[in-house]
Amino acid sequence: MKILDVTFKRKVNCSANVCLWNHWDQDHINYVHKGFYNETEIFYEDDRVILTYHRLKIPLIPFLNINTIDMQTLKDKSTVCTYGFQFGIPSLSTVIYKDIGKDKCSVSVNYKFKFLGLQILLYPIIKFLIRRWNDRTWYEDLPLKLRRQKVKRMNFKDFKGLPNKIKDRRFTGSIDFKLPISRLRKTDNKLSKHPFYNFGSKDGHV
Amino acid sequence: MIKKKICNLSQLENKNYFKTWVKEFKDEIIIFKNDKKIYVKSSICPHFGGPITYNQNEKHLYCHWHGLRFSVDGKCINQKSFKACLSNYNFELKDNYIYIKK
Repeated sequence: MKILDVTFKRKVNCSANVCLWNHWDQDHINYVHKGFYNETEIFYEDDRVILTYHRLKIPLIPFLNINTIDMQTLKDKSTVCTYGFQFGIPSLSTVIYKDIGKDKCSVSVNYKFKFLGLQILLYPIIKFLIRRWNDRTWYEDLPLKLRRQKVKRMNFKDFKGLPNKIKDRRFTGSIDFKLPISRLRKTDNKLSKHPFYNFGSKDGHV
Repeated sequence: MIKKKICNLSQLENKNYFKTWVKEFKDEIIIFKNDKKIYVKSSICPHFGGPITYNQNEKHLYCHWHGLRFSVDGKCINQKSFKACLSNYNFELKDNYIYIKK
């Protein structure tokens, strides 16, 4: 048995709650990360957990796809744990978002993969790919987080937009984050059309 | 009322749209031409705040974050339950420059 344990640390000019929102907004994956993801569907979600199916393109060999089901949970108010099974290898990613100033936060991403038997041969490949994966998804998400922070500071309300009056386009309070995040109705939402789709006890969809 | 000079008509030529943040309006504005008519709208998607771009081939606006599509009138056309529209700005064309007003 061999464990791959790798951590990436970064800082970003947005609040931890904006990062958390981005992490839980599965809907953007099919558009913003379409280079890596062929398909994403939600099977289940509630106020702490989301179970998603992904069909992933393998970095460097994009014509090959792998299917995985990820279970993502909010361990505490700033920590997201995701349990996966890529290439048949159990994985755990732990992401910690911490506010370090006004609209600024640190992000620590730890990946762990457990290799058994011949899977050990994949260790150097996964080690190489995970860095590329982390870099690319980070830079694809970065403009999204910065823009989201900017519009939230202009008093943007989800599903409504900016206030009509310019004088009301200012917000200095703390940016909220609550699960499950609001989504489009399931009749309209490609993500939730899967026959397994099921809501948890708190239906935040509008 | 605030009136602000935004762009020259020639700046619409390449992509048939022009996008810019306007500090005075605290908004990001998209100006686009559809069938020779000029439209000025907010390019902040009312869903989650994503960036809106004009697709001149399909003659609609779309959001890069979640794939919402809007008609040139600003109404969402691919999510029936989504009622919010892209907000509209009045404008004035003077000496080939577009001025927007709010």
